Amino acid sequence: MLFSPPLKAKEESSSPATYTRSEYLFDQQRHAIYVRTDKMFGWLFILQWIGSAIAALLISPYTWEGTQHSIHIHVWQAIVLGGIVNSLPLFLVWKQPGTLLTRQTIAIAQMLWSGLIIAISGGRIETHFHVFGSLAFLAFYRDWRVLLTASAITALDHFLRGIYAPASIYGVQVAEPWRWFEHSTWVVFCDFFLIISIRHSLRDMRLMAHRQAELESAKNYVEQEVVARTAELKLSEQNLRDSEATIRAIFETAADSIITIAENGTIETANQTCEKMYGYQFHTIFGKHISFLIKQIGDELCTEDSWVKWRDMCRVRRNALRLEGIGLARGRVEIPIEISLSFVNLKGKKLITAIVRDISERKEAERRVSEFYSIVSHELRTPLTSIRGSLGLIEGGMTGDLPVETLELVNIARESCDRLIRLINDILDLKKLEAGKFEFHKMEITPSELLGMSLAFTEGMARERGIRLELGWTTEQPIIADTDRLNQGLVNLISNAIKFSPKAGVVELSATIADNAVRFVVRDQGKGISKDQQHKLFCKFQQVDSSDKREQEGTGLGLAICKAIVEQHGGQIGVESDSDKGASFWFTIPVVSGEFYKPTEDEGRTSYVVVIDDASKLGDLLNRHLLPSRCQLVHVHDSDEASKVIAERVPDLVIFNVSQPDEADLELQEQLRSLYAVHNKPVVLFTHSTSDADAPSPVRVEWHKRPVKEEIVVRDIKRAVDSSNCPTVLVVEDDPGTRKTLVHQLGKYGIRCLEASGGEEGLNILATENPELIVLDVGLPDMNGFDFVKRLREEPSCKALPLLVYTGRDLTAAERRDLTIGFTRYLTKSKASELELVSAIDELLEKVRIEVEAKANS
Amino acid sequence: MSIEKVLLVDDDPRIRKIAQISLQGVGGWNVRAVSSGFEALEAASSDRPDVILLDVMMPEMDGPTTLARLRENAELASIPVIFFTAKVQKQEVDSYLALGAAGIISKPFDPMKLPGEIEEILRASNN
Repeated sequence: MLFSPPLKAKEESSSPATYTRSEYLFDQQRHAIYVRTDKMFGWLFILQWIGSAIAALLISPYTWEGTQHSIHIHVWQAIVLGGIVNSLPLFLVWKQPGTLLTRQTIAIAQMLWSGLIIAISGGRIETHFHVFGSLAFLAFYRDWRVLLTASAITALDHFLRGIYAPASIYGVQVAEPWRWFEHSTWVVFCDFFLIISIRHSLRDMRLMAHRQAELESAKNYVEQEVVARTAELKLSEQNLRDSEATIRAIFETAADSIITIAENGTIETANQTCEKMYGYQFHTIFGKHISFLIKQIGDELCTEDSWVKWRDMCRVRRNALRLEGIGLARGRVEIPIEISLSFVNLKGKKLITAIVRDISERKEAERRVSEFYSIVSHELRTPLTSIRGSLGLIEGGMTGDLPVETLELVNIARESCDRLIRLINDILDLKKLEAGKFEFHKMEITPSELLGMSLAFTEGMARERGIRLELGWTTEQPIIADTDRLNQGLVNLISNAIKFSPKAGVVELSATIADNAVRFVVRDQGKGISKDQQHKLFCKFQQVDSSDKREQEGTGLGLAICKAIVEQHGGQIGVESDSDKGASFWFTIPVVSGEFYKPTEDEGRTSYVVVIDDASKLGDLLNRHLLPSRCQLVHVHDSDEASKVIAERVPDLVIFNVSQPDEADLELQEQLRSLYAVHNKPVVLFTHSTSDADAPSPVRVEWHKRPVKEEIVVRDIKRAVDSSNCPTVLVVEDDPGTRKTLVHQLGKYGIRCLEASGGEEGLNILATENPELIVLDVGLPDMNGFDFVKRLREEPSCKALPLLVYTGRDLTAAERRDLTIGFTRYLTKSKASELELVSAIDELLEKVRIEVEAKANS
Repeated sequence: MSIEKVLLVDDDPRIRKIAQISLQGVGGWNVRAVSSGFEALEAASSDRPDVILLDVMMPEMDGPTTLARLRENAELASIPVIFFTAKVQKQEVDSYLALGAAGIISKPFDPMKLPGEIEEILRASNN
């Protein structure tokens, strides 16, 4: 392609617009070159005209014919032909420089000049080089067409003049016919390279034009972007200012003081409300420590030191810290405030935001409410005091005897009065509880202490109605609660249970751990509450329908009060019951994590219990009751498994729930027996009876009957696990050697001994200590055993003490009788083995327990 | 310590009457009833009772103030004082005890049991 080659592809341009532009630039450039070159030629023509004229004059000024001379024709040729040749081109250069016509005309003209100059020089070969020079000049146009035209004219000129005027072109008379061709070949040769040069040049020009177009385009783009970005920036600046203004407005007009506090506790910013509340201008408080404005946070004085603690607490919490406190306004005026603190981290800058609210009004309102309750309570109670007092005295006979009917009426009035008093108490309590205004005095207490208290309160009532109160499994997990209030709740539940219990019924109390809380349960065996009645229970003034008069003593608010108390402790309350199936009222008190009771090393150490159980019911029971972190429970299904487990670690307690003991079971029992002899454990509990001979000692208890009664199982296990595996025994023996031996022997079995060397000492010890059993030597120095026993009989608290009479000689029947109080066993020192001794003690203790139970049951 | 003389202080004549019958009739004690704190101070001085039953809400000089005055007097300071009041919220109870009262008996009370309660309080405070 001889046309100036386009760039590799149109795609090289970044866009059609750029391409267009680059083409435009290119064309412009080319046009400029044309114009410039046209102008150049314009001058060249003039130069050539003048030059050739002078050259002609110099070289051949005159032509001689004889002696006549006239101006040589060359001179005329130069001037005239030169003028003719120049005329059109110069005109065109002047009129329309840059056009193709102009160029071509110039090309033709220039080659004619070459011809002319050759002619003027008479065809001298040196002037032929003007042709090549002209071509080179014409190449300045960078337009190959021009070269074609020029080459064609030259060829023609050589050809024609070669034929018709060879002297003017070749300087010879006759020219070779092919000479024009030879010359033309050189011209073509020259053209070839000139055209290549033009191509390269044009390509470079195009590239530059393209680059320029691209650059322009880029520059445009950048400018556009800058404008756009600037506009955006302005917009966002505006938005920012607006938003800042909004926040500022909120900050300043908030109803509470907003203060930001730097890490070191100094005040950084404060809003107008703060200035108003405290009566200080901002510049006065800026930079001062926050304790300048706040006297007290919570119950603590706010100082530079105590502030650090609050600050750190804030940092850790996710939600704001909200407390009441006391603010300090101008003039040392104290204001009751509510302050909430939150931590802010702004790119490394740590601040505390404090929002302070003046709660003087609220406090005043609270005080008024509190005063109202006080007054109402007082105003209601005062006349009731007179009524109750008067009726009480009359009823009590302090005014003399009354006719029966009068007494009855007074009785009615007094009872109603009591009821009214209870009602007022309940209503006021309930109102306070519900309003959250009740002041609780919470402290740490264990469930067993709490249940103990409630039991004490309700024992009398239970006894009156022949109802038995039983304490079931009680966890030692302490809780934080208002003792009096929870007691109130429990007493309420227990009283209800008693009221609704059938004759000789049992009310069972328990406290177990369930899901991060302690769950208290009061269970009765009454007629239960049907499902559709249950939802009304805890509402106010509800009495479960009853035809029995005595069940209408309540105020109807008891359960509502229980509910309010429990809920104020963060717990829940409910009932599990159905018609004729008794009722279990339960409530939970949450335990804050971290407070969980961990048995210490010595105190009831986590007992390791192995249960051998071929049926699964016992396992469930134990899981439910033993989970309270006291026991690590391992459940195995037969004695073989048990042996393996026991071999790894000796348990504290083994529970045998096997209906038909087989070889393996008996073997295990042997193993347990020997273990006990060495380790003082395990204690073994059986669910079926065994004869003494088989049982490994010490056996704590036997559950004789199936189905196994849950309460008894639990109680016995608790006892076994709780280790008063440490019964206390009083050893009364004068001989120190014997005494020491006895103590040592008993000690091996985990029995704690109190020692007395004589009867008096023994009695003294009994006055202050409570041993469960007395081991008595008959032959004592100061008073003999018989007298000792007599003295024991006299002491009411010692009457039930089991006695192990341990003598050096066999006793007669009569002697035995004299030595008996309650349960008594007799052993002869030399004849009884250690095993017998301990078994006997155990047996006695057990007998006592059984009897105590029997008494309670009756 | 057995009680023989009781000083009863209450501005309400009805309650005075009832309490008096109760303490005399049921308790079998010698009762002097006065109606104000001022009288109480005089009576305490002249009679030296074994126990003072003191109402809280009285005009002019209330119970706690009377107690404070009694305590100021070295001779009278040792006489046990039991507050007698319808206001029995826990925090009030604590504050009364803090003032040096031996105990509180709340109103309304059971007139048949009043002497027993007084004895109980004195027994407990002696331990």
